[in-house]
Amino acid sequence: MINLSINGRPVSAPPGTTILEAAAQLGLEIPHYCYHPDIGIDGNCRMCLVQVGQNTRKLAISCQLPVAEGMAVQTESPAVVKARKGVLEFLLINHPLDCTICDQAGECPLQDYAYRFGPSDSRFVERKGRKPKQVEFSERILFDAERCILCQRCVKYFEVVRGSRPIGIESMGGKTTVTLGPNGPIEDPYQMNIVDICPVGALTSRDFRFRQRVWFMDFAETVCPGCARGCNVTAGAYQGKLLRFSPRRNPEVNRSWMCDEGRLSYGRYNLATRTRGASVLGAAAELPAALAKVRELVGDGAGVAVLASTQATCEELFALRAWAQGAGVKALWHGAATWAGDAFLKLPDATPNTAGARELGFVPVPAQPGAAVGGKLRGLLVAGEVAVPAALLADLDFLVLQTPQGGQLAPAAAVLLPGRTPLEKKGTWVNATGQRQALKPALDPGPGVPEDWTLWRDLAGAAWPSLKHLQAEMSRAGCAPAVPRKPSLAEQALAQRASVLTGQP
Amino acid sequence: MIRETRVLSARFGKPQAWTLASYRADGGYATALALLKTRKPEELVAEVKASGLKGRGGAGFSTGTKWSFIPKGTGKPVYLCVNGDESEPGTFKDRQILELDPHQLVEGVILTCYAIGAHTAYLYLRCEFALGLRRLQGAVDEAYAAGLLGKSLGGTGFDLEVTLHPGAGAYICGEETSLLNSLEGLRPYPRNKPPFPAVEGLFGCPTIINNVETIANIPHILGRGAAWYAGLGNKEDPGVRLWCVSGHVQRRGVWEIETGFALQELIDSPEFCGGVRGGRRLKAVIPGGSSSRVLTADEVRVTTMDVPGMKRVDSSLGSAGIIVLDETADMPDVTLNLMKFYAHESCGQCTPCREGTPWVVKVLDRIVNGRGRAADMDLLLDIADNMEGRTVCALADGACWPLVSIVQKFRHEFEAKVRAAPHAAPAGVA
Amino acid sequence: MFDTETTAALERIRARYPVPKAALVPVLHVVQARLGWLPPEAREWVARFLSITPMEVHEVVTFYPMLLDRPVGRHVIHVCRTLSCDACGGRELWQHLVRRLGVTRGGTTQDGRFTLLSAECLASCGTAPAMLLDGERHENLDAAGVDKLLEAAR
Repeated sequence: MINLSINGRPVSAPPGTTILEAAAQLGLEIPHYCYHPDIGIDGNCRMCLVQVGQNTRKLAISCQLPVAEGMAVQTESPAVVKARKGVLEFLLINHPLDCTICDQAGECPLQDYAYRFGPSDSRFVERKGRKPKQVEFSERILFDAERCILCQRCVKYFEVVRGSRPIGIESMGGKTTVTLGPNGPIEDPYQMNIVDICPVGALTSRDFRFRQRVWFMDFAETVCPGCARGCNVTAGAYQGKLLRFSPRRNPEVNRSWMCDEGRLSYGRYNLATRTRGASVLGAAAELPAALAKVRELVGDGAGVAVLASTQATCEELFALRAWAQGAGVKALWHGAATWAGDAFLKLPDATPNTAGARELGFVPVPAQPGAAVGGKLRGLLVAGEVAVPAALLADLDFLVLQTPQGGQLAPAAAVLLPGRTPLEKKGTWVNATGQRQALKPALDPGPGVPEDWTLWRDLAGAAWPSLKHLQAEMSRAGCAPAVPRKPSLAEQALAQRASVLTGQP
Repeated sequence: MIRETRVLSARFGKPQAWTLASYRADGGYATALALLKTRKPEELVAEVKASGLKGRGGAGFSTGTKWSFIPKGTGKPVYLCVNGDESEPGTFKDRQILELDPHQLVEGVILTCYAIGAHTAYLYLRCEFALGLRRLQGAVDEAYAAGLLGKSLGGTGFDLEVTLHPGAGAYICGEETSLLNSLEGLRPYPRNKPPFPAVEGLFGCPTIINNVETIANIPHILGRGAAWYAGLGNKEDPGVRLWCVSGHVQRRGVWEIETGFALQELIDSPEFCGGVRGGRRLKAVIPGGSSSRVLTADEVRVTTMDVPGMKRVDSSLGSAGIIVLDETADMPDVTLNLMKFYAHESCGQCTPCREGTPWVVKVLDRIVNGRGRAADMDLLLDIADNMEGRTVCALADGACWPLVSIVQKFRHEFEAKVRAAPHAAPAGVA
Repeated sequence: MFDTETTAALERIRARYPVPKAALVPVLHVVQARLGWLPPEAREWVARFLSITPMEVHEVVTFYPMLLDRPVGRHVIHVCRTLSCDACGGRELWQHLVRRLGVTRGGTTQDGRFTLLSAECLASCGTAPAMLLDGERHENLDAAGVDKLLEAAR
């Protein structure tokens, strides 16, 4: 271990640790732009300059310089404070006055660092350099060369993380610009990650363009429902409607990335119409009456199966199983959905909690569903949004449907119960690599849509007064629910946009 | 009395001096062939160190010390890159070697590669040096044909491949790590150091980059001995250098003189520059290529051209590109000319240089064209303060040295322009 | 795209480097000498020849002042604008050329004969003012001298 001091505080770090990383371990943020923990070091922005020893003539870039024994680093000396202010001034002199129309406003490290470290007035009285604006990099991304601070994160992301070169850098000096060059529009299915890593509003999402100011939005840290990878996301909503997903950093799951398809899928969860309250045989009914009807239909449980969505949380599935065991329903099946996976993040299982369902004893729908329930499938309880195989519907005596939107099967349902979308759930999903991850609701469904787990609790007549009580029983039973991931002190110090980690811009 | 000591330039001007026949007739390649057979590489490194030879590209680092940084036993090939990207304003000495005695450089390359354990050398030349490229390629071709390059050169058992590699018009490629990236076919951005090229250079391998003039010295130093070289010129900064003089002198040119002579004498001597042109008064001298601090006429009078002498006047020898300016020189205009150079040549990689050098040009342009303000001089000094020592490479430093020294030493000229400005530029108007 | 002699020369150049991409600038110079400039098809050809992407070629071509990514006249002039030339007749030389050719910096004459560009220090400070004409350096110039050069350049 190397021992050094940063601002007089002792710190120890393994050889090869950079000063920036060592400072982050102390929870000390050294402002920076071009460095990114999942892309690497570039050393061009000069924002992270620090003083090593007494040398004020030449400052060092903390993102690159490895710690050395006995090093005395200062991050707030007069020379560093001035240099940092100088770098910001340099970045601002040609930067366009776009804040009033720039989507990045409110989650912009240039704004934030300028506010904290920058000059309070402008000494630049000449004309700013002009460069191309509103350049279509693709149908998903717009590029503004004037706002660009040439940190090169975007170019390096493609080169280092994606192994391709859809964009590059052309010209030299003050005329340098990021460009599509001889290429056509970007086609990479993970291209929109460059919108997040861009420290300014040079790369913006066309989908989110001009839709809302981030300081009016509500953000929730949750998990993408798109597939079994379980990319951590921040869901942004305004007045009860989702406006965007952005990836949240998790080094063990998705690093700083998510796929464009998942990112742009948020609209799916803004329901125009939905099931509110319950209905029995087509007529609206109070929930207790509807649940009583379900008990009546299920009877002794013979010939009845449960088909659970793998969007359901472990908590819902635990409660559902508890009811089924008490009601004599032995067939616990889970649904499936697939899409094209890839070698990067997307997994072919297009649902988020198959592993959680299996852990709790749910199995895929058997080839002989009738045989599996002892002869004939009499009744089916569908919990959550799931594709019901036609084979299960043939010759059913009754169907109970619990779903956010009734859909085509609703008219055939004896009992229709309301359901929440994944973005309205609180609970746990287990992803394909075994990570247990916590969901937080981004939307409130409004009246008539209770939390899904409460339906099964009430159906079972069980006693858990709150989700916490249910989760405590789950822990006792050996299937611990997830706790929200808390980014380390170092991660927090390195994150420039808090929304990258914590859901707040 | 200032006089030339012609070592590197001894054969300049001889008919066909650039041919193998001419070089051999004067004993060329004898040193290389002898030493490769009789001395160990480490001994050559030690000899060059003992000679006190410093890099002649501008940075002035001890050549032998740089060679000793090559790590042993990495299993990676070692490379030599010769820096022939001479682009420092005021400097035109390397081209003389390339055009007039290129075999001297080739022999230097052989000896250097042997000393550092390199079997591949790239000679990076400006593409604007069409004649130099032809002459040096001719020399390399002749050397190959005569078995002095290639496999077991000269029967010594030492293999060496030499390739000329052209630049494409960028000053920044004279910076050693930018040169490496240029050679690798990348955009020639300088690299942050550490790691240093001696450890991780061309293609990630140990690499020495030396200036043309530096390498041209090697056959002479190793042929005549370190003690001979160390005895030339100033004791603390020994040797002989090619000095370029341009600008407002009667006679411009390149002269080879031992370190430690009086700058004023070089300018005034009838055998050398013959005084300021037209008998005018000397105003200023930029001593080390444009990336050095300017000297006033008073300072020139007491300047000796060696490292300690430069320390006394707070300037540097740099690339030995002496630019003389007489009383007709408009110093704000001179500064604008030079700052445009740096802004044009800035590679654009890092923030302070990319944004700062054009800003300085914009401010100077206002001053020169009658739209200056009283605050502008201090503004220029502060912009420089935020560039110097804050960048990836020394291009920004090179811009700051003339900028700051000229604004400080000739401030009255800037102030006069500002006072004479018809109206100060209001904020927001270029 | 090129005759066998040129292709052979390019292959010889490529073989001098352990990594084909390192041959990029030397190869581009040969191609530019053949074609006068570097049109997109030529850049694509170079990319394939060196097993790199067209983007990598584009990034390099647009960086270097001496690599021409747009069409130029039959003859290309680069006049040095840096201090030692500027202070010793270079400025006047430039103004003379602008007047005589009737173009501004970067422009090409109507008859397609000359393109006028600036260059930074050509290492001819002692023989200023200087310029390149089709890559060859000419020094100690004055208006008469440059006029003679232009007349000879068909």
